[in-house]
Amino acid sequence: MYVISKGFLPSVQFNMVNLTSHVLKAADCRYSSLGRAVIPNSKQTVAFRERIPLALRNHVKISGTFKQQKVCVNEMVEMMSCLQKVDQNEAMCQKEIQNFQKCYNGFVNATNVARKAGKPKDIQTGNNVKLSSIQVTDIIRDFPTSKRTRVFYYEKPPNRTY
Amino acid sequence: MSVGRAYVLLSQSRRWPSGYRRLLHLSPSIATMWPPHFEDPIWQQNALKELSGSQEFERLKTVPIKSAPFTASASIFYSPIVERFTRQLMRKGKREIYDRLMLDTMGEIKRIQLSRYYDAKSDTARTEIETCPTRIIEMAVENASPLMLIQSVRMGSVQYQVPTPITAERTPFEAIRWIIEIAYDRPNNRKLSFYKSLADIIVQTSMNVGPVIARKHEHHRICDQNRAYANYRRQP
Repeated sequence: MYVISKGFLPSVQFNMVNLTSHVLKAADCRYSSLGRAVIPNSKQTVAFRERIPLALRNHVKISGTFKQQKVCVNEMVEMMSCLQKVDQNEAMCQKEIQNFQKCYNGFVNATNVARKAGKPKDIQTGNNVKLSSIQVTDIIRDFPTSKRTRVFYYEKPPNRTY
Repeated sequence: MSVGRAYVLLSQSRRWPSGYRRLLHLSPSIATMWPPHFEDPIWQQNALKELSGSQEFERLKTVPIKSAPFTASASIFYSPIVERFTRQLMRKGKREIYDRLMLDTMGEIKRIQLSRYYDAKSDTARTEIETCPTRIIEMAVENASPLMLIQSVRMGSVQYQVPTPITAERTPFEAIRWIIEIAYDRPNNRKLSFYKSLADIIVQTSMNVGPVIARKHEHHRICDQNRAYANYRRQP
């Protein structure tokens, strides 16, 4: 029993009723009509309808790349060991420092040139060749299996009869 | 009322908080006035001399080109490193103040070096002393520039400090940052003017001594300690 009384207003009395079970039942009825309720497989009588065309996508999910040796690591380690020997005196290790910087700058320039020219497509061929996911998508895009152009592409189904 | 007049009024009025005042700026990062087919200008004299007579030079004659940046200068006192230094020093876009500060530091550097020049006892010692302030700043930045960068990488709930190679673009940035930070953190900063402490630090760094060089060496030592994780870096 709850009582509300505020100043000059007359007090109101009412009882609270638990309605959750009723609301849940109503929700069950509603969603079952839309086919969202969980129905066991044995009771499913709905025929399979092909809404999205059954074809492979034109891309592969991007996964982790291979663990490969990073660029210029050996040169960097050589330089660091040299600096440690001479107590951080850079004038004594000019050869190692230049070697390291030439290596990395050459790599940066090469990647910039490749980026301007387009995607690099140096893919190996043979029986036991491992390809990365990016390389596989490059191949599949040249020979598409479905008409899909985008990743989330939904073809409009024919007019429904029901 | 023109747009410029409105901007001046709004920026001066106290009713606008600083955030709104910043929005009123049309900085180049937000919008450029040039269409995409406009090409970058070449304002360095040496680059123009190299280009002249080539096929590229003939092509550029007929192509629409953006206007030169307002920092472009053909003066013999112009130095890209000094320009970069002022930009990194600058706060709140108040360029006039920081240009003035940079000129003051250069004057202080000149004073320090000239006093050393006149105190030198032999002529051979005098010839070794560099008195050009722009050259001193360039030497300081060159000496303070690190050879590697430390990148913190998270691998399996452990944070590694990974040494990585550094690009030629980034090296002067790190060097200038260290010089400025250490100049601000001087113990006598309250008594001494900032330009004096900055000049002192720059002169020390140009001679390959002082706190900035110590910081660089410490940075390299941290790189050396973590050399086993060199393969963990994100870039190739």
